[in-house]
Amino acid sequence: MQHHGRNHPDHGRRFRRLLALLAVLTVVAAACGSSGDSTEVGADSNGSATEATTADGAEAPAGPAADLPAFAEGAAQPGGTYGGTLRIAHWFPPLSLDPHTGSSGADHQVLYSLYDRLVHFEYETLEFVPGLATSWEFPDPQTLVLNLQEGVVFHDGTPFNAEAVAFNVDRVQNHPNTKIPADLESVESVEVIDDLTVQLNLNKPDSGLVGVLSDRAGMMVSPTAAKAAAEVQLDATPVGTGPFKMVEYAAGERLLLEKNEDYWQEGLPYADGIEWIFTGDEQAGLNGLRAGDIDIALTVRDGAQIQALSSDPAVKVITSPSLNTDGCYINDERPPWDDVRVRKAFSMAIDRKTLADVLTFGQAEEAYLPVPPQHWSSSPDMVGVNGYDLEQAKALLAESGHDGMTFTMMSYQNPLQVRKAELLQEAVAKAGFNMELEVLELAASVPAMFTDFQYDMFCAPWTGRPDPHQTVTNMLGSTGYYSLREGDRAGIDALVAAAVATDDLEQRAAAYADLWDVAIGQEALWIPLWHNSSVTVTSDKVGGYNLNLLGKGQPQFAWIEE
Amino acid sequence: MSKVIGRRLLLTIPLLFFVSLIVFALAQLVPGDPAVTIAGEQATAARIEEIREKLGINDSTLVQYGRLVGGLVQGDLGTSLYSEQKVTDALFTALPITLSLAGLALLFVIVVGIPFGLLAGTRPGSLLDRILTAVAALGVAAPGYWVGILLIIVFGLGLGWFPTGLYVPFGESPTRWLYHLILPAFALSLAGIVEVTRQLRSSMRDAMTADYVRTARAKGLRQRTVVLKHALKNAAVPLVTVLGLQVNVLLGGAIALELVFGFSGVGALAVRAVQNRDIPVIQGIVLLSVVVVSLSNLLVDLAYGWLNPKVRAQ
Repeated sequence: MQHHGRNHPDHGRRFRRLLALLAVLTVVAAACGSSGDSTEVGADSNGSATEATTADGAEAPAGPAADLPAFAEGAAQPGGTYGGTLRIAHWFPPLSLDPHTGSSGADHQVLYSLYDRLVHFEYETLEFVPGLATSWEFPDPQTLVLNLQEGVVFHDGTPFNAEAVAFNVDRVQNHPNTKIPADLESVESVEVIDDLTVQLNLNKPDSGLVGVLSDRAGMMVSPTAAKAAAEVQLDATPVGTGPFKMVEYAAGERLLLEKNEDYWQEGLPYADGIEWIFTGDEQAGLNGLRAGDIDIALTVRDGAQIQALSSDPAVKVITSPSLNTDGCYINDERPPWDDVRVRKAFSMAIDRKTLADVLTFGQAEEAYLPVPPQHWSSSPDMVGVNGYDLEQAKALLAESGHDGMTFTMMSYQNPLQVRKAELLQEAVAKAGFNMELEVLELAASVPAMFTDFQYDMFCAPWTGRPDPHQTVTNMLGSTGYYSLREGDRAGIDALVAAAVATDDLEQRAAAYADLWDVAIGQEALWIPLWHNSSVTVTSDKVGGYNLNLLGKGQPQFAWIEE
Repeated sequence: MSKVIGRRLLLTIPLLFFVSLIVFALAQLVPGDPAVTIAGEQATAARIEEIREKLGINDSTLVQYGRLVGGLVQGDLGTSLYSEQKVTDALFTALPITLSLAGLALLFVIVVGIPFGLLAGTRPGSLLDRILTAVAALGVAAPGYWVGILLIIVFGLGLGWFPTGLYVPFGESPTRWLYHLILPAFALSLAGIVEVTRQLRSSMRDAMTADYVRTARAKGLRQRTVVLKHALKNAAVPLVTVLGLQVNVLLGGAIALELVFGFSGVGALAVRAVQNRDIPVIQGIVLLSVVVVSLSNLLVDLAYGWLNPKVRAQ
């Protein structure tokens, strides 16, 4: 009498289970596949999808952005409001909260709240200003003396002094997991002169070191904490001197910070705390912002989204020019790319303005250098050099005897990047290049190009570095990871060295003008495409949020009005 | 009963090894060298070699697999390639979020799907039945993440009734936890609700025309008793199959919805791990999925036994 229906439980159950497992895996795969648009990698990443960058999206109209306050970091600003907790959505969770053993470019914005650097910078120009070092001087080109801020203590009570600096320099150079040993490779030894004076003895002139000390290598961690931490890493237990201390951390999910009441900079920070919420997706942060659950949504890259948000009165769209510059890396050891005429022909075949307009909703700025015009090392003489000239491009390619040549450009999985590659393909075809396109998975792209030398060309954004020396050694010097040359070319190594032989900014700028002229102008070793901007969206109640030319915003001194 | 459970749990072990073998083999096929990636752009060749040694990449494939299995036996899934975070820690941080989402969605599936199915199944052809069938067709056609986006636009941004996402831990505030989960859980549950409604409707229709129902009615039992006590218990067997499958589908669907709503659950972890080629994390997630799916299948089978004495006898 019992009726069990047609679905006897043993019928096809195994098959269904298999289907179920497949369903799970398919959705995982689908989710992974579709998320390419939420990740941006800078070509300076080490292939770990790390150097997550700012906008491929938009660029402010020429000139300083209206919203960018003219302050150096750390200066208390008039009209700031104290109290409250800033809720900040970050689409890319930090991989490590240890500045020396982590390497992700997306970590900086979190690290700034926890760690001070020896050197800070002006927001608009990236000129260097005192941080934990109150002043510095080069008594000779191979000696850097730093005078330190008095009375600073780490979050754990350890005093900050010359010994702490010496410890940190050693840690950057010699920690078993350091990711940035090359940043301080010019430092031969460290001498503690007195409690607040430390001297770095260099093995070669390196005025670029000051800028390096405004980046990861200059972030000071507590020696006590670093010695005590498990595996001696501070991935999840950061202890710095910064304006905020860690309260609670769920890696990949949330980071709660509270105000450092003993902070050494008068009147800072404004907020009582920061709640970092890591969303994995930029849209989720923007939704939270519009719904009032989020105060700041970091690093928005979608040009269409930026346009839409600009008309919303409840939010502020903060745009700043940035060092982030799109360009093409060329394997110029490999024929026919060893012929400068071919490289120049490629450069001249690209109508930068039109392509940038199409790709970034009319907001990017055409580029003729790896650094934007706002930066002190930029050279106005380079504007237009190797710029769009289709006739000249055709002529040069014909002259080189490689008209109709076929080559492979590699790009990585990301809708914007693939679109860019396709547009380039179309553009250079008109000059006689038959460009084939290969799209790799993001993490595979950088090693394929720069470790295994598998491709002729790779066009990707360069995220920039505080000091141009870091950029040029990486990109143009014969030992740089992103330079594809076996040895020196056209005396470029000497020009790179000349630019750090003095710490006078004007003289350095003149030296860079020479370097740009040879490496980018005459040799066309790197093809600049356009300068991207960085964009952050905040609620209309947030004040004091600082975006800067580096493109890595500093939320730690922002405040909430009311 | 405990013997059955024990045997099934034991069977999970060879399954896990089999899956670990597949995952390991796939990881071997991925091009590129994790040591290069970990070392970073400033690394020397010596440093890369050192990392290769530390990771054991230089060992033979067999030794490497042996190490994976050895760790597995001790419940050690290794360490992320990018931070020094243990994979188990990463999973335990992310898992409560995914389980909250899938769990609440399952609750929606049950408390909405079953009454709908009963209503439609006991009154076939009625207006209610036809409306539910039409809505069900829509529900099947609409993917969860798309519904999620619509819900955000309408109820989150438009009407402002619900938050647009962003997970709040249960420990921090149970009410806010629930409040923040409602939209994603509803979006996630929709397909399940439809599935359960359709399945129950069809099996209830069969059951309601069965002899024992006529007998029950002839005895003068109330409609309520006939439906809930006699018809439902028989119609519930296929329903349990559907619910069991739903657990797996919900966990899978949670991944896409986590991204839409900005939850840092297992799905977000998986996406990040895949993008970074963080092989130990990917392995951990796949193995965890196997365990969860096996457990839910076990629960389904136990429910069969409870509902159907004939299965128990087998």
